[in-house]
This record gives sequence, C-alpha cells and structure tokens, in this order.
Amino acid sequence: MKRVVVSDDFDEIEIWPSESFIRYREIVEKEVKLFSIDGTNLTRVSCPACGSDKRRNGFDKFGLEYVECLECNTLYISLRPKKDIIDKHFKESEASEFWHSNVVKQTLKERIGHLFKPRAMWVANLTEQYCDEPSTFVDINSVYSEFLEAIDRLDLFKDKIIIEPLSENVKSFDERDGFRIIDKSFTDSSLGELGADAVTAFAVIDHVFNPEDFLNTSRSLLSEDGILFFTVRTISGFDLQVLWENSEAIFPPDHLNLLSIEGIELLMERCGFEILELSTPGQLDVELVLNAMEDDNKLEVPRFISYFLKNRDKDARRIFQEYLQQFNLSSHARVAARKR
Amino acid sequence: MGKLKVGIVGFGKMGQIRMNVINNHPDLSLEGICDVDSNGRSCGCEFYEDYMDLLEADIDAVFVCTPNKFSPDIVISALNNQKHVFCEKPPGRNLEDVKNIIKAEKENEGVILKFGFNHRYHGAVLEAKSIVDSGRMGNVLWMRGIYGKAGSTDFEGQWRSNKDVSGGGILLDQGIHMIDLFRFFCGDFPEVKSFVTNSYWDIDMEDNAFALLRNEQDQVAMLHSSSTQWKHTFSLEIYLEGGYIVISGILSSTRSYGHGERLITARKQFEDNSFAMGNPMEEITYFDQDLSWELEIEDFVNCIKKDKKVVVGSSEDAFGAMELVMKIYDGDSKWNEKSSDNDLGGFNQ
Repeated sequence: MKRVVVSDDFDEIEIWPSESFIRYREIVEKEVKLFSIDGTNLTRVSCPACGSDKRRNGFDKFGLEYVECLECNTLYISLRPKKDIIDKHFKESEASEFWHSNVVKQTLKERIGHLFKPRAMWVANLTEQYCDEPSTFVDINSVYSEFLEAIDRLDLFKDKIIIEPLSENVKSFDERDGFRIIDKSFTDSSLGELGADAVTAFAVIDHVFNPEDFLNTSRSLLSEDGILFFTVRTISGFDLQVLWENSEAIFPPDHLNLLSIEGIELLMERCGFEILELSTPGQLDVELVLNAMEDDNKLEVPRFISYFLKNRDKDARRIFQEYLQQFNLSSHARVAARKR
Repeated sequence: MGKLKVGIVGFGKMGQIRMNVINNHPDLSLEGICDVDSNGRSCGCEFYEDYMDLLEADIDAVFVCTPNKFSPDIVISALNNQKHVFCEKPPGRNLEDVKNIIKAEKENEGVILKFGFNHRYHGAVLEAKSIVDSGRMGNVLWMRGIYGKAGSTDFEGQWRSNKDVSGGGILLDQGIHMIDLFRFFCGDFPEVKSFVTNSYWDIDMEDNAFALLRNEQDQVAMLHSSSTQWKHTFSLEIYLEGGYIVISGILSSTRSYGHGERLITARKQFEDNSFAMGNPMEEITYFDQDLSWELEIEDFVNCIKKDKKVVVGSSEDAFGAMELVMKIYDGDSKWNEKSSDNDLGGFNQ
C-alpha cells in the first residue's frame, strides 16, 4: 500500500466561496430539519465502517446526532434519514440545485485545475499500471462534467459509462460526448456486471445511506483487475479532530459517514478489497482551523495549535500540512482498491 | 509442475535475503545451501561445502549469491548442469565474464538465466516506468541519477573493496543498478563521457564515478556513483516533455536510503499563468513496502514454469549494463593511465 502527498497552492475560498457556502449550509439545514420532523423518516444504523454498535454521543448538527464508534473512531449520523430520502435530496433538492448553479459555477476554473485534472491523471496512472489494456470506465453519481471531459481527453477508455448522474450538465451528456448514461440507482440489480477497469466515485461514500452496500455494488461492476477510486472526508483529519463540533465543513446529509482511516481499512477488508493506495492528500486542514479561529476568537483549540497558528508563517503551515498528508492525518482521503 | 527444488550458493547477506523469499514462496522448496563458512548449516536443508556437489544434487534451480570473482564459474557450471540460474548483480568482474556466461547460456538452450537487478521491481520504479510508457508526459528528455554510499569504519576491509574479488569499485558494485535503470527507461547509450576518481578511500579502485551518457535519440543521462556520499543517497530524476518524475530514496532492509521510497510527479504548468509559476503542483507517493525481492523471484519462477523468455534481468541486460560500466572506466583517460600504472580499477581488457 502506498500514500500520496500533494503539494499544491490553493485556498479554501477558491473552492468554497464563503458567502455561497454559508447560503448553501442554510438551505441544507432548512431541508434537514424539514425531513427530520417526522421521526419515522429516521433510522438507527450501526457503524458504517466496522459494523460495531458500540458508540458514544458526538454532537448535534442540524438536529441530527453524530455518534462516534468506540471500535474504529468513525463518526456517523444515527439516527439518519432513510435511503430514499437521502437519494431524493441529492437528486432534486433546493440545496443540490444551489450547489450546482452557484458554488460549482463560481469555482469551476479552480476545481478543474486543482481537482478534476489531477483526479483524471490519478485514475489514468493507476489503471495503466495495474490493468492490461483498460477499456471500460464507470463514474458513479457524476456531478462534474469537467472531470468526465478530463477523462475523455486521456483517450484511455473505449467505453465510458455514467451511472446515476446527479447534475443536469452531466445528464445532458450523450453519445456524442463519448459517454453512455445509465440513469438508474447504482444499487439497481439490473446493472449487471460491467467489467469496468476503473470505477470512480468522488465524495459519494460521505453521503450514501450504507457504504458497505455501495462498495459491494462497486465491486460487482469491476473487471478482475479493475480498480475502484473514491474520495471521502475522514474524521481522522486534523481540522475535524481539532474543530470537532465547531467544524462548519461537516453536516448532514452531505456527511453522514465520516470514516476514520482505520475504519476505511476495516470496511475495505470486509468488502473484499485490497487497498492499493490510501492517502489523505488534503490541502486545507490547517487553513480551515486558522480560519475558524479568526472567525471566532472565543473558539477553544488546544494551546499548542493556537500558538503555532498565530505565531508561525505560511511556510510553517504548509510544511505542517504536508506532514499531515504524509501520515494520513488530513481530512480529505482518497482510496484506490482492487478485488482481493 | 510441482514445487521447484532450489539451492543457494553463497550464504552471506544476499543469500539470506533470497532464502527468506524462497521459504515464503509457495512454488519453491529450498533443498540445499553451499558456503565456504558454516553459516547455512542450521537452515533445515542439506549443507554443501563444494558448489559442484550442490549442482549435482536433485535441484531444478540455483541462486548464485557469491562475490563477483566466483559468480561466473558457478553460473557456467550450473548452466552446464542444466540448472536454471538466478545470479546476483554484477554478473562478474568484467565483460569477458559476461561473455563466457552468455556462451554457456546459448549452449544450454531451455535453461533460464536471470540476473538480480532488483531495483527494477521497486514500487516507485515500476510506477515511474508505467507513467513513462503511457506516453502522457511525452518523451524522456534527460535523466540524472545519484547513488551514493555513506561508507563505514570497515569499508576498506570488506570484500567489495578487494579488487581481486570484486573487480571494480562503487560503480561496479552499486552504480550498476543506476545504469540498469537508465537502460530500463531509455535503452542503450552508445556515447559515454566520464571522470573516475579515487579521492578518499585507501582502496585500489574508484570511490567516485561521474558519467554523461547519450543515446541515439539524444537523451542524456547523468550518473554520479559514490562511496564518499557520507549519507546513503538514491535519487533518480527523469525529465520529460510534459513534466518530471523523481524517485527519491529506495527502500532497503535497513531503511538507510531514506525512511520511505518517494515518487514525485509533476506536470509542467507554465502554460497557465493563474497557477504558481515555476512551482508546479507535485504529487509525492510514499511506498512503505519493498516487494522487489518477491516480485523478482516471482518473475524467475514464472519464466521457469511457463518456459518464458527472461525480459527483466536477462543476460542482454547484464551485458548492456556491464558494457556501460566498462565504457565509463575506459572513458576517463587519466583514470586508465593511473590504473595501468597503479593497478587501480581499470578494465584494460
């Protein structure tokens, strides 16, 4: 298994413009409170990573409770909205519409340069290394057409499939764009075996009702030497550990499952995957904590962290961020895995 | 085919590394060890003092892990006894040794011969090779390789520092790995310029070699092989039309060439002024495990079981690497003059 560190140079505001992000959170909060009023919409779940029921209370966000698994330290929402409610939210809610038409549009150039192109290269490099003559690519819950265009430009895959797209601009893709769209739930049993050499799912596991089901389905879509690529927010990351309930970056239903690094390993093992890469190449942990301290001068963070961030310069923070990445302590994780 | 019965000749550091891999391999059974010392007597298999006795025993293959002086004769005898052979690098002390081995290989068709250039199987190297071969970063423009040893209190007393046994200094001992990697990425280099020096250690061979190699595609590789590095160092930079790849540190059993093996990749970004100029986004991959020994032996076993041609570590690779080593020695006229006067590590064949 290997780990990856990325040295890039971008700020929180470049991909999460503050005003739009605040507005997005407000809309999500309103919607979560609406579907939480009826208690029958909510259901209790075990740890989505290790399956344990041993837990302790974490904190409340938008009226839903985060609990921490005592076995693997994964943080997750339980009681959580039922699957159909979650699925509907990400397909047709006001929040979803606002995300695509505001946040994404405002930050598209930065997202292409800092996120989509590097992701496409990541997929290409590993697929070519591990698969003989890769031909089929699958993206689940596609949101960003620009990522798919970056994949297309690689000229690596003959058959490119989008399953259950979540944004209108991806839904408008057709065969002229070189993609085939299957607008069914990825858990739909009629999908069958696609024999994919690469399956990608970016920021999907964070919000699926059941990550184990998601991984089992993804596994069934893979060819014998195919690779699953996904990103997920991890509770093992610095900003989330330091800020905990004060983190504005995590809230339901966008982050139902904040798997720990150890939880990711256990879950992949349970689902029959061999991890090729488990990295946390996040860029923003240190900046997120610094920004939170600046936004709220009463915020309590450990003394050393406070001293460090107030008294050391950008270079020191950059090196610390790289250290976090190197030891899988940033909150943005990426995983590449194949069938065992 | 059942398990392959194998033996080991030479039970020093390399022999012991090979034994550990053999004992964990499902298709290999260690039947015998041969050494001039009694190191291998308690390893649970037959022990031999004479390698010919091992070669005449009921074995399919032999791992030759002896110092350079002894390897060629053992390899040739093994081939002539119809044993498949895995031989540690370097493949002898000079080009004549390799030619003799290749002659024996040709006379014993069907017998597999593989040389231990394990660096090609390191995770970072395999990934770099995959990126280069994909062509997505364009052609290789140039490479720069540094491989250096820190030295040690007993450096001058080791067999590697005895010219009669080793045949050459740091270039032949360690630099040959970097030369092999240059060949792995860019093929042969017909043109060589070099400086070879003995500047510190009291040995009758080189302790530093600096070389510039150029191939027919005008790709240039710069080599510095050193035993006066004072800190174990491995660095291979590969610059391509579209970016660069740097392998920094190489995993070893002692972790002395860095605590991790790192592969740095970056694409050139000067086409977009909105991003950091001259400071492209880098991705650094850390490799925690050295699987090179396992992968190398797996390939050897596969070649035997499936009667496949050896592609990595073939006798052509061994000859190619050895020929470049010789050209680097020969390329420095001052070194050649000194070596013929003082019996330094020259190769006046």
